[in-house]
Amino acid sequence: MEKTMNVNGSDITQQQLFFLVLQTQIGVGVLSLAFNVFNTAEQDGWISTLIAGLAIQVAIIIIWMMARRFPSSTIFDILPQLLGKWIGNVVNLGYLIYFIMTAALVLAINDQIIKNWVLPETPSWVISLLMTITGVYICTGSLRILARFYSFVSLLLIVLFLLTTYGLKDAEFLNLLPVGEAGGIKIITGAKEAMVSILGFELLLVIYPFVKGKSSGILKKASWANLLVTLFYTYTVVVSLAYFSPGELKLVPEPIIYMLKTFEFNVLDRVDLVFLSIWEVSVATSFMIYLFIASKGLAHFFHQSEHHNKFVPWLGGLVFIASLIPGNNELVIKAFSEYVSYLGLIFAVGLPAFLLIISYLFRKKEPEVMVNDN
Amino acid sequence: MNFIKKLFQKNENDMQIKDYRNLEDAKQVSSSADKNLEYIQQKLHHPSDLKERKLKNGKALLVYLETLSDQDKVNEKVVLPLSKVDDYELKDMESTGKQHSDLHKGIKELLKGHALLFIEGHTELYTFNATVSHNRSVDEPENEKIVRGSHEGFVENISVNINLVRKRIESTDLTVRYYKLGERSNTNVSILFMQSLVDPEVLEKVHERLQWISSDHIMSPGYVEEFIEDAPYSPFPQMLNTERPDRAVGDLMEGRVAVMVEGSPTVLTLPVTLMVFYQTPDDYNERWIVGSYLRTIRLMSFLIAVTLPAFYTAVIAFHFEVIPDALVLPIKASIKDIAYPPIIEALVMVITIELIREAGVRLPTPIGQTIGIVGGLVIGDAVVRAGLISNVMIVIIAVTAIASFVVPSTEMSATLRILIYPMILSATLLGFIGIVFALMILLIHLCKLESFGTPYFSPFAPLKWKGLKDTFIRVPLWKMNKRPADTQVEELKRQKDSRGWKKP
Repeated sequence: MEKTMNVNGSDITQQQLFFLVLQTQIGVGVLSLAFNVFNTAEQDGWISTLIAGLAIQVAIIIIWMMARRFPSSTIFDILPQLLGKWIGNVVNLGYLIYFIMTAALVLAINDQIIKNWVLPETPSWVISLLMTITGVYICTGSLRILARFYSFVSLLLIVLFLLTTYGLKDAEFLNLLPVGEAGGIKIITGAKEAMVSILGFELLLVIYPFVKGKSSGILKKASWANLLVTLFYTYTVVVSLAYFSPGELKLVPEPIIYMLKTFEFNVLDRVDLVFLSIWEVSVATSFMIYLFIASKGLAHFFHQSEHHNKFVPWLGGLVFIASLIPGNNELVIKAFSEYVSYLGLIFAVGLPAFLLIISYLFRKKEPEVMVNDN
Repeated sequence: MNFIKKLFQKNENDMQIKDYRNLEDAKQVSSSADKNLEYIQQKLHHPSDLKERKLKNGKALLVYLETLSDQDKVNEKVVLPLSKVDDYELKDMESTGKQHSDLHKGIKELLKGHALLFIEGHTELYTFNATVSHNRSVDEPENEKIVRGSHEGFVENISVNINLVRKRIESTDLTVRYYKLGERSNTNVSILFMQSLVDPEVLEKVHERLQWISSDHIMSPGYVEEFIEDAPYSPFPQMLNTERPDRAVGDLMEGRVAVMVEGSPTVLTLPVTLMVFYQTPDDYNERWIVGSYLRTIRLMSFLIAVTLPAFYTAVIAFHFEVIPDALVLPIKASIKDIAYPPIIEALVMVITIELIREAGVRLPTPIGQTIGIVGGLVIGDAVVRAGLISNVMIVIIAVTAIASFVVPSTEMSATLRILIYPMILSATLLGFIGIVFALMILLIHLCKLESFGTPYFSPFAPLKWKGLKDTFIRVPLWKMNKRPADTQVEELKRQKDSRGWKKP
């Protein structure tokens, strides 16, 4: 199924899609993932992470199966077709709110970590404002600009990987034993925790029509990205589990940074600051894509899908204000995070599956396009 | 209101036509030579350098601008042949001259340095090319010296420049197009390209944008550059300025377009990417390992020039704990007695270096050197002894300044030095996080920038592994079988196997 659609020069290659998915999935979660999964699944947290990756692979396939029935429509176009104009637009609004809240949550968590680790005296809204300005600046461009930026900064992930690897020097792999002791239920609950960190693949819902080439290639690239992210996350979890004893790990909410903080190099002390600076880029990329797809959604509501950039500054302001609501209260942020993660499961996994069933049941798809099994 | 505006506009148009746009229509040559002369005098507003000579007992009238035409050529081409024949035929002159019946056309030729010949009783005129031009020799450009390779450079004469290119590419493929730009100055502008390599879209864009230029005067390629570039608000140059024929030829061979302007030795080539500014012809004259090494050094200089002072400022102001134990004491000792915060130190030093550079750049060489010594050594040393600036800051700023001058292109070097300011400022406000955000915005800007449809930051973004071949390293020439794709070149293949003689 070859797509020849070109939305005013904003289409991207499949390689760029790979980096988009990769960078969106790696975000704020990477720091606290090990802590979160350890709290539920104990030393089997790495299994939880793998399972989460697997579950997300299933979700990606669901989204892909649905999206390829509508190869030139974003989710905002698909919903009214499937659910009728009214319900469709209400769900659209739901998606829009979900994207906005995710973006705001990314800002809030980022603020908190920067405040705790790097800039304790700086008012946290300054960081949010900077992040918003950066996001607005890139999102006023086309998707292609985002894709270019993401491809380039993906090189930085190598540095994150190498820094994490240095932790193996003092690792004690006995900490991982006995395997499977936590039991199935705990591991599955842990997987749910981990899944929240790896969310981000739902961008496929919006950017699918902008990717050039065969739809099978899209699935392949998105899956590769997911595989890489899952392996990277599992790796960080394994390193954290091996580096800290179970007793210590309960006390360190951001195990990777705690680990890096202890390292000393001859040219540079405190590599955790380097790590955080690079991690900030990954956070920014996650934030930007949510801002971008939200602006696409908002533009859809005003029937100006081609001119999303007009809405970006307003949306940026909205997200910025929303991110200020939780303040610096850790409990509120945690509740906010919990809330958004449930929304995420609904909007990124549940609804697409539901939509897929509906589109099969009522045989709805884009009329002029033949769907082959390729 | 609109009505008045229209009125004014119309008036303006009328005046312009009266003023200079008066040679567009045709004007029949009068049969009376004196009338023609009078007309020319009036058109040119009685210039003092208009020379007129009656020949053949007043039957023929020769007119030329003595400042533009060569006296010897006029004699050789017109006066001598005329004097040889008694009862001359008009056809006699055809071997050296050209016949016109349009007087306006004749005036245009006159302004190019041609001599005009009128003959009493005839409604035609003859033009003779007697242009004289005073050229500099094709010396090596001062600002783009190289160690090995060609030492020729472009000059101020556009025909000499095109000659330099044509000599290097003996091919039917090389195409030259002339434009007349500048409503009043009628400056010669030409574009050169390889027909089979250049992307037609780029060519179309160049053509369209050149057509739009309505400035009354094109002083230098800088004018053209500002009129046709994509993003005028960007700090980055989007066209390469070069005075080297070999550089221009190399660019043509990669499918780029060269723009030449009469009166300037600088040639613009486009479209370009950021990396083009980091290449020099020297890279290809060295052995490839050496070339790669030097190129890597140059790319490192980019990073140093942009981030080093910001990094240091951030470390001193926010993240002192980043400094390893062994270095803490020396650095602390150096900044202990300094009264000012690091940003003031950094700004003072950056501006001082900028002052020294600006003062030295236009002075004669001996004085320039003095300025360098006074500025560099005396100020540098004294400022530390006086306790105004710390030792380490001097080292940092000096290294940064040197790194920013490593770039082979002066435009890019200036851009880098400008970028230091926002970097230092963001580092002072937010430490490492500030630097990260400043770099991100810089990167986004580079990703957004396009030069005639070519992504400026290619091959990094969009990421192309193959393109990196001629970026960090300079692979051996016999391995560069394809042209860089980022110029949207039409034909990628450059060669087959140039070392095919080597049997396995």
